[in-house]
Amino acid sequence: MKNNNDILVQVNNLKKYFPIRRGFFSKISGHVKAVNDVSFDLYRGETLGLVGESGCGKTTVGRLILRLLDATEGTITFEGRDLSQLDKRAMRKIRREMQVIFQDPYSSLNPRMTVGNMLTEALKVHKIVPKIDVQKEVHRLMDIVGLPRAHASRYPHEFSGGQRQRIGIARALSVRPKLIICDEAVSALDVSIQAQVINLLRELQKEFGLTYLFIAHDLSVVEYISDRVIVMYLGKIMEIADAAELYKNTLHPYSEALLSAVPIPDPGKKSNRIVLKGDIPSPANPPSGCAFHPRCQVAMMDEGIQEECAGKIPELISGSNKHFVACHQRTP
Amino acid sequence: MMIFKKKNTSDKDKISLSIIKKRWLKFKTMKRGYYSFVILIILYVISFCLPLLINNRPVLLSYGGSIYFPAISGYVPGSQFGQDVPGEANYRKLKEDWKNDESENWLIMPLYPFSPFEDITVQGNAMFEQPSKRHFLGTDDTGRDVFARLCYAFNISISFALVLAVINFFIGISIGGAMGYFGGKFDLIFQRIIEIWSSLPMLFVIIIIASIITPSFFILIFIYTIVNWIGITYYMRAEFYREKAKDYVAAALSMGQSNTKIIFKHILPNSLVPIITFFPFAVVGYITALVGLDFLGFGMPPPTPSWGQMLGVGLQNMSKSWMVFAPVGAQFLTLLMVVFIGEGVREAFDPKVYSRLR
Repeated sequence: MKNNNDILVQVNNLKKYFPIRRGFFSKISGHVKAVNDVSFDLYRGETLGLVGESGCGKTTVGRLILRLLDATEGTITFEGRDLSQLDKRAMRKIRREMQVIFQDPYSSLNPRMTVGNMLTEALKVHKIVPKIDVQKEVHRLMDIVGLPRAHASRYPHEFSGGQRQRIGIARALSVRPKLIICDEAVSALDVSIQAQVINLLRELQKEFGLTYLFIAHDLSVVEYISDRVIVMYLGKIMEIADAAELYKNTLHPYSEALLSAVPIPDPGKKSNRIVLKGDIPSPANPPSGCAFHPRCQVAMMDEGIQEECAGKIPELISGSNKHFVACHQRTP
Repeated sequence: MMIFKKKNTSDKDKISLSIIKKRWLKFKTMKRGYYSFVILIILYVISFCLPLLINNRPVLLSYGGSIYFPAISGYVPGSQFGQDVPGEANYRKLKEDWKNDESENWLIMPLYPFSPFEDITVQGNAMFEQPSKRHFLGTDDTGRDVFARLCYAFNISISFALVLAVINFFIGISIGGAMGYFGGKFDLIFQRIIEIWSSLPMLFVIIIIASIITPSFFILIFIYTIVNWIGITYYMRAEFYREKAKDYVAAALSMGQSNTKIIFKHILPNSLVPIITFFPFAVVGYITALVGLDFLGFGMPPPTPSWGQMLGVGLQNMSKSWMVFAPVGAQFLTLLMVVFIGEGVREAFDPKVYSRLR
């Protein structure tokens, strides 16, 4: 169905360890394993949801792909080119292919620049349109995201959260990227605005053939927008599946627990909520074997199972319908 | 929906203001700060025209059919105008003579016809003259006019402080900003260098250097910058550390913007608060620093008019009250005004809306 030409981004065994420094000489006493051996493909034109609780490394994956951070190990290939091998110049060029929309619309816009200046900046860096057409292009971008053209001379503090997020989207679109990483792009907005922004993102995807990596913790939003979903826990991928498949045929116990926490707008329906015990372990000192086993409702049922889960790190096994799961107990 | 639309059209004509503009407007409401600012700026601009206003050389002189501009062109021997004096012409006397003779030669003297340099060697000057219509603030121990010296010293003091502050801030911002932006080893090493450097005993260094070479305006500024750029680096370093973690910097980076552009276009405009609020107080500090050095005799070379030197001479002649009160008063007023400006600026950058200062 999908061949190699359709792969836009390929992530292979990606690792990002942040050193923990202690003591007088700031000796490295350990590592926070924010992203621990993650591999996945991102196909052209799709929306890939990336979910997980806070601190599981979703944002770090996004920043690694954008190369705002350098990976400790592993490779990221964008259209067949290894990003870590690119020199400064080539990297600057390739940056226009991928853009990011941030979670916090209040800190992601420079408070000292007008909207017009923000949008022209990228146009100038990459010389996307000739100088005379810059003004026209700014107006076009503002039309696309549904902001009045007259607002180009305004400063960010004069806008609401939803409008600011639209400015962020316009800025990301200004370089005509292929990939947009939405880093919790709608999490900070209230529900009605969320819907507006998500619909805007979908329309833009249709219009410009964009690929999204949609990082979020809100599963209902992810279900609505994504084609495929990756579930992460403690820097590792637990499950990858098509969105419909994941919600219908959940395999990994962690995904199950996550999905059971999504509120169902039907008071008559009895929800079968799985409440996870304990806190998310420290990524500096992850549990042995399957990272999820100390909190896993399946592993808790039997001591034998628990031993197995604690002993070996589960591989991400592929099943039917491109459904991948990393679990000893549930195989696809 | 209708309500929203209406609102949009109505505030279309509202002008968007940048943060700096808003703060300027707020600063304008701090009356004493704003008026001090206006007065100081006007006085400072005027002080550049002092050679035309306070001088013993005429602005315009006509002698034997040709026109001279001695105030601008400088020294002209008296013999050239047919005056029998050794050295430079005594224009005040020349004017009187020509008036009495009803000669066709004429000259226009500046408003206050005394120079800060002419002493008792010029005929008609005396030591310790009391304040009068002729000498507004009297004369000092060598017969120089105190008022003229005071005015010239004002220009030198403010120029010194401003130039010094600009250079110091420029170096401090560049180094502090780079430390904050690049972080890591660069930051670590520079921070240690700064710690060592800042432990130099400033005053002694200057006194030692000043006793070896005769300091001039620019040498003094150079000596002062050697140590004084450090202060602002701490603030800029912290500001840059804070700002570079914000998402708009990441957005600019992912856009492919260069480091220089990010530093100057994105981070610096957002780190202006410490720069602008500290600037007036730095100026206060540098004015007093120059006064201190001049007072001790390690500042500007002797004939240069300076408040510190005047204060020193005044102290030796305590009974001549005008010689003490003049420099003290001038300094007091200048510093007070600069402090008012600083206070107003600080208040204007305070996010709290209500202010005690008006």
